[in-house]
Amino acid sequence: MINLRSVQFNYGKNQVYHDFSVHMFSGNIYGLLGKNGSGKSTFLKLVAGLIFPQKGKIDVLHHIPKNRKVSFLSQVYLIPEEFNLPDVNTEKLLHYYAPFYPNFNSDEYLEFLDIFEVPSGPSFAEMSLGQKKKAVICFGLACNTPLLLMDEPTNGLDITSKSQWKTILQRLSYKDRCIIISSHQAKDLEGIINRVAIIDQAGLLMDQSIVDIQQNLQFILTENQDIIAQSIYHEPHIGGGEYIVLQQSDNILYSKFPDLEMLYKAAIHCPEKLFPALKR
Amino acid sequence: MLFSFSRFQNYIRSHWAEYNKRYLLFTLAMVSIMLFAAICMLLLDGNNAIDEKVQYICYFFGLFVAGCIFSGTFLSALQDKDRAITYLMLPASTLEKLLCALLFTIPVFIVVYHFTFFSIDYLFVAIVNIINDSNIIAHQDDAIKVISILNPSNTAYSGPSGKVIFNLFLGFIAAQSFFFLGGAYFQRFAFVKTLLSGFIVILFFSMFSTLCFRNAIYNGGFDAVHNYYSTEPIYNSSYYLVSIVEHFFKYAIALLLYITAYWHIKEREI
Repeated sequence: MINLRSVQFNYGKNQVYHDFSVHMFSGNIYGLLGKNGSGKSTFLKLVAGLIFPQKGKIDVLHHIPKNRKVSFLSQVYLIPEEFNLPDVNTEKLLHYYAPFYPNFNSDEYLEFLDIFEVPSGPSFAEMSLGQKKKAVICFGLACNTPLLLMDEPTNGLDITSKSQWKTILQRLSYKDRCIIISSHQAKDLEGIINRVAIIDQAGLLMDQSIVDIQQNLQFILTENQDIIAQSIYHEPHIGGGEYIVLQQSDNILYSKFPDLEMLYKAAIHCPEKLFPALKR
Repeated sequence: MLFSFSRFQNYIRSHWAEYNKRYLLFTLAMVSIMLFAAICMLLLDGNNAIDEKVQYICYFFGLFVAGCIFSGTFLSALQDKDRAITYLMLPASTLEKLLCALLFTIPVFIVVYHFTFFSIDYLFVAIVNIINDSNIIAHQDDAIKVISILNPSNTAYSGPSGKVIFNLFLGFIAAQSFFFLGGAYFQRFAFVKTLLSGFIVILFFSMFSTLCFRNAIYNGGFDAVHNYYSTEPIYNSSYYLVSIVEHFFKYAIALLLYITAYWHIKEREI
């Protein structure tokens, strides 16, 4: 679905990607993690064809995104971090913009709006940022495009809205779709994604399925110094003890959904310990 | 597919839904400025304020100014990162987006401008004629008539010929295309930068044409005509050279600028 081969991309003199290659497949919801300025948004823009690589090849849904052909654009929906909505209401958005997306599902759109409690009467100019964000998420999900890109979708959402967002995404069928969610809020991705990709130092640091992580790692809180000494990564917990990432013992098959924040920190600070544990 | 009629229809509908308030405000601003200008002229120059010549000048001056502003700001979405993403990601081809722009900036704009101008013009010509009727010096034959753009010979004032009006409209479209290209090319302050570029282009062209004039003498671009009284030839500009330049500026330049704008939209990065 998405193939980036030896991509190089710079913003002026600032190198974002050097020899960056990644392959992403349908049937997955990817959580894209990385530091500020590591190139998460750049990655989404490259995939959407909004910026062009200086070197390398990009193939998305058998199209070259740069060409921005209609057949490509109708299969991709990007929810940017900062977005623009026309000054219409949710009903008119459906009426005027849904026809551009062949798989658009009006019932889903109305259902998502209902779950998110987005008012149907006022135009977007009269709505709060959070309400507009929810509306654009509903529209993007209902487009049913094979590729859905979300850049910091939970920014601007309150606690209730975040749980509504999780509810919607957990119900979503993504068998023939690829959804990529870039976020600083690793906690917001827990329970939703089935793969984690971490971008760091102008390249892809990690691309791992949640099942693999669950099978190979444990995320536990302990005061036992012997266990802490064996850990891959550990940090003090405010309430006492240490929060650790530990190699999974053989007698436990699955642990709970991995703590993505701890996983991210382990990948950034102790990659030499983490990756062998994942490849076990 | 580069063009689909149903998609183009959808695109125009969505464009209208997004921009109708903006276009209405633009029209209201045009009406306000025209009314203000007409009132000022009436107060300053009384019964001679809106004769046919002034009407023609006002019509074309307003057409060029308002048209260039409208065309130069049509792609304002491209200057704003968030709006540009929406604009570029909407599944319509660049050709359809360009055709929609052409539709709104040329025929729709001309019709709206024409209607707006003449609504005010009819009103103020009537007012001036009422003032003149009450004036003892004025005669019935002196009544000011509303100008006609489609049939200019209808007016008492021997104003511009149909050919001149046609050429002015071609010039208007060329100016529109230049400002449209500026909107597509410049990423920030597009209108101001286009305006400055326009002055630079005019300056450059004036200098270039002077140089071209000199070079053309040596390169056969001019015809030598022998005078009966003198052995020295008199140089006339070649008919073909003049014809090519004239036709280029009349018909081809706008097309070239719109094609360039098309590629700039297509290659635009955010």
